[in-house]
Amino acid sequence: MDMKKKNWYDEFPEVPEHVHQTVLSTLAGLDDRKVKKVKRMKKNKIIILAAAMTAVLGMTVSASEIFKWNKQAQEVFEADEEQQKELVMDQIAQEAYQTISDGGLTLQAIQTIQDNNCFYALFEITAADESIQITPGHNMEFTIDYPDGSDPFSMLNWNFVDEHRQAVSNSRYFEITGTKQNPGEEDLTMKIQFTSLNAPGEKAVAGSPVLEGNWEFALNLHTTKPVRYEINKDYQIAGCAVTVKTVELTPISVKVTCEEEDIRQLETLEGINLDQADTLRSLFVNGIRYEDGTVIEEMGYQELTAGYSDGDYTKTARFSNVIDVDKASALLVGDAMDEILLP
Amino acid sequence: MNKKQFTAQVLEAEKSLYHIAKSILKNDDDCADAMQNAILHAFEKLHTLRNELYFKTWLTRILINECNYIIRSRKEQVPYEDYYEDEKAAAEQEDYPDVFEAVMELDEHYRIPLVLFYVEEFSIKEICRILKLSQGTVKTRLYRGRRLLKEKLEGVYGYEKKELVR
Repeated sequence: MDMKKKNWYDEFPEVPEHVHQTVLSTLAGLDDRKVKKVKRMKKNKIIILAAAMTAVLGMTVSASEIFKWNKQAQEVFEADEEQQKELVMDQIAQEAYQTISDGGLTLQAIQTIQDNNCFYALFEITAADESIQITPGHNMEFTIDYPDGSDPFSMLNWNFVDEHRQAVSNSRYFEITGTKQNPGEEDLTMKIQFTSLNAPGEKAVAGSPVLEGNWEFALNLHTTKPVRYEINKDYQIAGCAVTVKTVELTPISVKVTCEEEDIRQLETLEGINLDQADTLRSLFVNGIRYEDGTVIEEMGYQELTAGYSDGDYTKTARFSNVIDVDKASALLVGDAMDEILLP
Repeated sequence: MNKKQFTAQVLEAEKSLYHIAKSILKNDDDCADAMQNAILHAFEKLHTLRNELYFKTWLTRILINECNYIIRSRKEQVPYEDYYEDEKAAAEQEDYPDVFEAVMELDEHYRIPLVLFYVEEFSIKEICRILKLSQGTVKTRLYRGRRLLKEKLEGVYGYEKKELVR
């Protein structure tokens, strides 16, 4: 049987009438008023996070060059000008001044953003031959070496940016994101060695090299300590009393530690099993309230890690908007935006 | 995105949503429940959608969560094995094409990526977002799933040995 493209779709059943009617009645019952207005921070001032990485790469950067904008990083992290400045001062956001050309391909390290929970690096890949069009389906082959220790990441993802973020040409941005397996406060030293630009793969198979070479970047990234709140109080979360032990905040991520047995109650309530990698919806950090009452709603929840250990339940998540830690007065969790006050 | 646009996009994606729900839940009533819950939840959380280009991927992710929630609820009511045996028996009463039957017999780990990739034509990156898996894991599951499906079609259903093509 030769399974042509359309056969797969045709082999699957049509939507039964009663299912279709359910969809129609559900759509007819939607109420426009339920669409929430999103409170966002100074949207017109959203810019990229940037800073100097001079100590590592041996370059002197003038004050005017410290804050540089990059549209690609805007897609990932959002901050107003003041926050950017603070992130630079904290060395959470760093600009990587390093460009290497080899084998007809130029790689430029542009940006790194990291804290004790997560890591982000932005590169720009440019082929000298303009007939080589780098698409989102292309990929970079690379290895990472950690001279000062073992691999700190539980998960690494990498890809060229999508077409809606950048038109196809001989140049394309490439992103690497990582989740740290044990949130640490040590500085991170890593060598990233790229070895080839690969063509898009066929189906589930990796593509063959288009250009090969040796591009090695040495990154030495500072990790700033989070602000830690000793809470040790009960809060009503989704109707359950939950003892929140500690909260740790950085401008880009949060770590919450609670009593295990209380979270087990929430598990039962939500009908999930966290031991089987389910997600606890009632503890999603859906917003941050500032001291002046402003609420920063999260635009996309990104849980990094979650799990039980030694009688505690701990979860880490990355914010979709950079937050001002100094102004934060409460975490708002779950669909009901239940409060966890920060002393 | 307003209600009218939301409705139009949901209806455009309806068949895909049904295929995906069907590949997880098998039972049409459960599919209807999951789709209804996903639509309501998506509309409620529409303000969290950062880029409308990702609407279908985002809605699919919500739908899969709702499907998983229904499975967990069912598991609390009846033993896991009994539930799936009942569902399988109900599904066998329907007269579905062999390829669909063969896909549905695959383990969920392979079945869902296969349906997303080959039936609904999501890209590898989109599947990674939907299933929250790495590209390597998705590719491996597609490769193994395709191989298992091929063996199943050749063995149980007597198809000739030819390559599966998207």
